[in-house]
Amino acid sequence: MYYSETNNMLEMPAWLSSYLNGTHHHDEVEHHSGGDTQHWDVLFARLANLSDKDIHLRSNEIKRLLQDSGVTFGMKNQTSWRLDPLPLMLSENDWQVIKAGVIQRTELLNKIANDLYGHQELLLNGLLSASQLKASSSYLRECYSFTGTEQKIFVAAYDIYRDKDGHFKVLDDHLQAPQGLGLLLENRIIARRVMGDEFAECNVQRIANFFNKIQDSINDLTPSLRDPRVVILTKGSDDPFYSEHAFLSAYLGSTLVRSADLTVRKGKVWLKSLKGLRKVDVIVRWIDDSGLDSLEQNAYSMDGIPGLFQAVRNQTVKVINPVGCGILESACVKTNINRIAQYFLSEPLILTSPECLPAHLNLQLDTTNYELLSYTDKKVCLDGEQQTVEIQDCLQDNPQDYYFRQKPQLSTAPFWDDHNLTALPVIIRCFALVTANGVEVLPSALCCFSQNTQQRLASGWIKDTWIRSKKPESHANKFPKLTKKMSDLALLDGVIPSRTAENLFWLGRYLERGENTVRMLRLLIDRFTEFSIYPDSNNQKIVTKLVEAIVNQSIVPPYIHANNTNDSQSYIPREIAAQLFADSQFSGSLLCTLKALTNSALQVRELLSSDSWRIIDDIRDEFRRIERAPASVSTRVMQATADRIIGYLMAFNGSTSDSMSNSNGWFMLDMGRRVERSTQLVSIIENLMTEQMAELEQLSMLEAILTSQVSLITHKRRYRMYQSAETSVELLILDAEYPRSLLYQIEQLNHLCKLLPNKSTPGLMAPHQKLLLKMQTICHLAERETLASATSGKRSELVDLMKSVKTSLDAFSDLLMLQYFSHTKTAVPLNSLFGSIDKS
Amino acid sequence: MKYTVKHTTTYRYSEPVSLCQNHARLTPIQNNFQHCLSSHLTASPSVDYQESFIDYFGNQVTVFDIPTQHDVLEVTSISEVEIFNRQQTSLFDWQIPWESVVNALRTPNSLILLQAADFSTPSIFTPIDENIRAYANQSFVPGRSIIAASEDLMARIFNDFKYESGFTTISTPLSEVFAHKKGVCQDFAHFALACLRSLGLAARYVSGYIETIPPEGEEKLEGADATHAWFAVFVPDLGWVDFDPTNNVLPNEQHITLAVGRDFADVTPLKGIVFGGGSHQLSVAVDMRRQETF
Repeated sequence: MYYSETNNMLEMPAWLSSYLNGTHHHDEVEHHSGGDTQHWDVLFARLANLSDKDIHLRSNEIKRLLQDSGVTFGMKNQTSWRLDPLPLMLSENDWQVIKAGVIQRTELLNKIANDLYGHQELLLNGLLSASQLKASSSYLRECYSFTGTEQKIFVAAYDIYRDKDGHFKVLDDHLQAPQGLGLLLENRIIARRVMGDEFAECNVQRIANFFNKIQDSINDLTPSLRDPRVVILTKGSDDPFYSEHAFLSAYLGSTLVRSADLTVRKGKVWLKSLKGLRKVDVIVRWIDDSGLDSLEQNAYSMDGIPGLFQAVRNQTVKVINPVGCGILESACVKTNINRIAQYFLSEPLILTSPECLPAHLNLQLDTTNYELLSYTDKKVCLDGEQQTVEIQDCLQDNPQDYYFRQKPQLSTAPFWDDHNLTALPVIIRCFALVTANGVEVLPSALCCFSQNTQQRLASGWIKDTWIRSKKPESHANKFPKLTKKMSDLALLDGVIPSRTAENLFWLGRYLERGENTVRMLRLLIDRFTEFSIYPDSNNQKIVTKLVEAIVNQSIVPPYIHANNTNDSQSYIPREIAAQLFADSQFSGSLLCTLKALTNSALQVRELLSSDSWRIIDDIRDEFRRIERAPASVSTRVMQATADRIIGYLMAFNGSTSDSMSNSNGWFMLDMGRRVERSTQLVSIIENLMTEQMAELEQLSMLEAILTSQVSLITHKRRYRMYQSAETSVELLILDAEYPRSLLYQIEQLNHLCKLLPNKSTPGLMAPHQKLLLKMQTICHLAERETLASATSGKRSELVDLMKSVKTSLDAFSDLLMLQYFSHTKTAVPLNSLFGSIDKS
Repeated sequence: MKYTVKHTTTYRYSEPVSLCQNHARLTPIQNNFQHCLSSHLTASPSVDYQESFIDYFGNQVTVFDIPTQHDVLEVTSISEVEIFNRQQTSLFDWQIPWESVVNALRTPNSLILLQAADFSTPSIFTPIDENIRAYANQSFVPGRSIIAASEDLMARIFNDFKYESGFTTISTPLSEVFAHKKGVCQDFAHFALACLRSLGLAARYVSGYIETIPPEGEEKLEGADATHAWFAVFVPDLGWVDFDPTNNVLPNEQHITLAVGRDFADVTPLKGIVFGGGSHQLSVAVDMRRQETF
């Protein structure tokens, strides 16, 4: 029962009072207010005005915002984060304990790291078992050859829970790549938006300062450099925390890179950028110790950067968190930390870890309140009450590999589960930063529902954590210091990893591809519907031609050149439309293109504004809907979807053209778009226009083509009664001022190419520019009459022109790949371990 | 005794390699019985970056990059080494029961013991099991001197196992080597290490060269020597004592040590990362010659 000093419970709305009247055993609201319920009171007083409907609305609002933010995007499993509308409130007293404990623990762990890779007092004095430590895969012997500084930890995270006795304890330490920081920040932004009034009322401590300090501390790592280049290293979109990395990179203004974007040459780390190799000074890595250097480390890892350790040894790059911190997370250190604290600090830990007992010394233990864990295998966690048989099996063979840990008794907190509040067990993840002036603790935490103690945060139910400050927050120091910053940003803006450039190029192509596919789909549906109303031979011919060209993929991606094999098979236009709409096996389908589009958008997540991202998210929703569409999907549904998608694509174009900076590589997106549009135009003209037709039929076909190119109205206005193949050719190919014409695309490409770093000798034209010039020239020189005139039913001049342009376009794309994106070759281990060796 | 060793490693690729980054452990280690007088590493195509560092186990690692496109890589290391005679007979005066060494390693109280403890746990290539322990226990009977027991283990491996080139590769599991009792020097060394570590003793892998003497009256063929491997056992106050189970000898003036580690993975003579390359073929030629003494 919750006792409040200031609020009468009768005033509480039912959704709240039923929770407060419930019987909980070990609850944050009910039992752990430390005699001071004020922090919950303030919140509840605010919430008392809300009905359960209000809470429900807020919960939905949060869901939407969270989805828009993209944190939940790209998760392999469909379970994703769910942010609860109610924050976890911590009193200032509780927070002081946690804060002091986090500072103490961080300092201690730093000492341990220095000792383990230094004097080894802990081993020599028997506080840690040498055989256990040395058997641990996270003990990096390579670190001995690094002459590092004293500071080992940069950012640390701790999973803390409140035990039954009311004391906070640490369940796990995260010291290699502490995940959750970006998630916490995003949650706070959302929570503040939805709970703005409550937030202000509760005097919640702010967190922005912590992030500013991260940036300052990174800069402090490279005092001698005026413009340190900082990159954030992620495994990529397969990492469940990828969105968080993208978010952090955007927030901190550092380039987000994969391992393959970096290379070590001459003992230094370089970023493979569009402009060539650029030296990297600081790597903020979100990859574990074990896979950092695929050359030096014994276990080959695809995520490794070959030679990285040599650069670290040469001190030409700083890696944070420093290499080797993984050992601090090992069971070997964790199970002895209480003793080590006594040894190093001569004081007990403020935040202890649950009691741990080596299994081989405690074989007769009553395990009811314990769980069995392994020193080496992080996945093992057996319940001492329910899994006694499995435990006996483990202990039979190698009891020295296991230890018992007292079962953590997590406290519960209220979560909104769509109808009412339920009590769920929680842990909070707290973050600390080691700065030159000591340890800083982030005044908040990521609170998450934790069902099993092994797998946390990878997905699940989370809360913002509010720490009430008694004094109102001052706004001083809110803005980042502008010491090195200005120049950093300017510099950073210009460095585009080749991979990012490539992804932008493809994003541009897929956007354009999506648009074209939608237009083709509309056209097809429109024509066969008309045919069913007016079944004349003219309409029939157009429908047949369209269907054929779609089936052989000459006018839809990937724009294969169709050999005029008059295939006698008759198709049902409606089925073809459905195939173009939703067939995952048909590479030209809308479904496939949208999938590729969202994937390439995900690869450049960090460059997209939240508005652009929201559109991508909407497109993904459409994609999912299309995926579920039945084979018999109605034309009405297809048309409605097509309309919405065109809307999204237009909106995306608008939102990016407004906010994109060319120095960030955005021109690559435009290049992709132009290349794609040219390819489309050439393919459509080649396949639908080169054949001479009877006049009526010709006009219908031209109308279809012009419709697909959104040029019908312009054409009608401009040429009125003189519409013909000639005029269509003029508009779609030759008019350099018309934004939909082929020549216009080529001139735009020429313009965009000037933004590419020039790699040729001054005064000489680069090969890709020569190709553009060639295309431009042949189009300029062509005459509409010759192009439109036909001999024996074929417009051979038009055929030749299209062929020539197509060849040059393909060559142009290839050259771009080769010259600007080609660093993407993958590394292969060359190791006698994988080959044969002469042995005597 | 002074030697000149020339060790040439050649990789032939099916497709061109654009960049190759390497770590070589081809410089003979320095110790009480061996001085490396000089050592040079050259490569074709030539390197544009070369540095070296001493690894955790005390081996010198040469780091080098080859940025030129190539189909064939040839790395040659030429070293001059002086080997001093070891008084092998006095070893057997060292009457330390092997159990006391196990105890000392269990609670290492000096840096030397702590370093030795690195070699007392199983590694990737030396997994241990009950059968291996049983095999080891036949030599390591209670109370026996560690030197005598190790020598006995070496002799048993020499007698029980058949030297057969081509039967195993580096990826053949140790259990298979044990089951068929066949293999080459590398397998015998790994097997011995597994035996010793199964008892809690510290033992390390030694990579190096052994001098081959051509049959009487025949000229020695260039490149006919080969890389070799054996094991060493840690004895407190004495240090590391070498045993060659392939030849059933205590290595002396005819063995040159290149590098030491927990197993082959720690001492791979040449490892690298290539960009491109397709499939590759590897060949190694070693030439070890006595220098004329004056």
